[in-house]
Amino acid sequence: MKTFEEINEKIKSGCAVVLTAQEVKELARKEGIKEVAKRVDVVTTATFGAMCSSGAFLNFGHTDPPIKMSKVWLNDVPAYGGIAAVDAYIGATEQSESEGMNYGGAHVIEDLVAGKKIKLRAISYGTDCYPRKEFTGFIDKYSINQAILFNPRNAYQNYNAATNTSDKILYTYMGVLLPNCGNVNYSTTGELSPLMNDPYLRTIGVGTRIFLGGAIGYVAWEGTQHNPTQERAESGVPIGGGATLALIGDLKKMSPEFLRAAVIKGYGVTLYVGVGVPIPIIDEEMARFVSVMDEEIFTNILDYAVPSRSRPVLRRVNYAELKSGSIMLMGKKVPTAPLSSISMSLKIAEILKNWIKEGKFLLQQPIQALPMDTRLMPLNEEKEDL
Amino acid sequence: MSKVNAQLKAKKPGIEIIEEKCISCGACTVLCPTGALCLDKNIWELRFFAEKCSSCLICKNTCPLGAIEKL
Repeated sequence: MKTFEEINEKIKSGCAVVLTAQEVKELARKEGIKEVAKRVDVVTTATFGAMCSSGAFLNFGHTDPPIKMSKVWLNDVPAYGGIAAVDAYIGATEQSESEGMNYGGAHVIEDLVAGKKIKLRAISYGTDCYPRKEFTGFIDKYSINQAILFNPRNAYQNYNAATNTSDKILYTYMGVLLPNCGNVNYSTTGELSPLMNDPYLRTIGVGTRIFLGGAIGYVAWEGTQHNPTQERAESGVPIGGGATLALIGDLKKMSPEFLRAAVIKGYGVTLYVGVGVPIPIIDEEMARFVSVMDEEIFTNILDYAVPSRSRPVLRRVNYAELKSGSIMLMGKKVPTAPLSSISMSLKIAEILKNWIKEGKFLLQQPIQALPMDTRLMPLNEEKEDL
Repeated sequence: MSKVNAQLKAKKPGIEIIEEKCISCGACTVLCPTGALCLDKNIWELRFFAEKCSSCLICKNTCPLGAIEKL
């Protein structure tokens, strides 16, 4: 049994044993879980995937005369201005009013991080204390007071895979799905992914320090649609869905390498977010959890041809099969693609490992556990009483 | 010159992969009708086989990162 404090002391003295998720599985295969528990202090996990539920709070500073911005556009992408006078929230999936889904909130965020100038347009109804009614000008990350990345739902613990049994191409948030089960797309890095390696959130909670978009960030809260009561496999990892994290960090310090705007054809704009989470090996149970292999992690392949929130499950599959590049489905061999970037995730896990080994990054014990008893509720139509 | 674009030059296919933009998500690999694009399972990076490319541009039209351009 090790405490966070003991592991941090080892990090400070430069003698902590830090392995990436990929390396620890290799060690577990060769030497077993007891050796992992004995030798390893921290395991770095990572993911780099499309995370639509992302965005940034910006504070532009006050104009003279001052304005209470009620409607805000950044490079022609609407931002939410209903918070105070010169604050706004730019959501990743919001689309440009002039370019549609070719440019959106995610592009604004990526451009801001890259240090580019962004055109700010704002209008107001005018008040005695904020008399100005419109503003047009340029901002960048150096000129504004705060740029806080706050992503309400990132790092899904697991997610279903997608296919299409219809005879038409479907354009979905799970990518292009070819007719007649022509492909299967999944969206996670499997055994490398943060919450796959701590399935019961024993070491991850409010306040956990993480890698976010190339800088240091934190777990702010449970993510929206957090669903820890999802069915679990023997490994403890949920089958589909599961826990999610709300993440926060200083956008100004992040890098456009790890925050990438993307346009998913026919669906819209999204943001690829790089997330790395360190997992302390506090006991043998955590050693067992971080040794989980793709073969032990399962998801369901859903038919996106059915326009329902309860899409039919065509097959249950493990990530070793999905990552092999093809699976058998409906009697035929079907190609598979991860959609998340496994190569970028490996890079993030390596960077985080180096930060810890160099003593630049200490572990933060959660100040509050994330809930483990919440369920996902649907939205049903309710008629207004007449 | 990178290996990917060296292969492109040799065969003159219809596309070019912009390596700074490509994150190797693999979205293009399942749509390519000729198997010209695949993920290298050792390092999980995109590989392009120019000699197999039919220049159909499905990959260019669907790449989420805009990392594939028509030559």
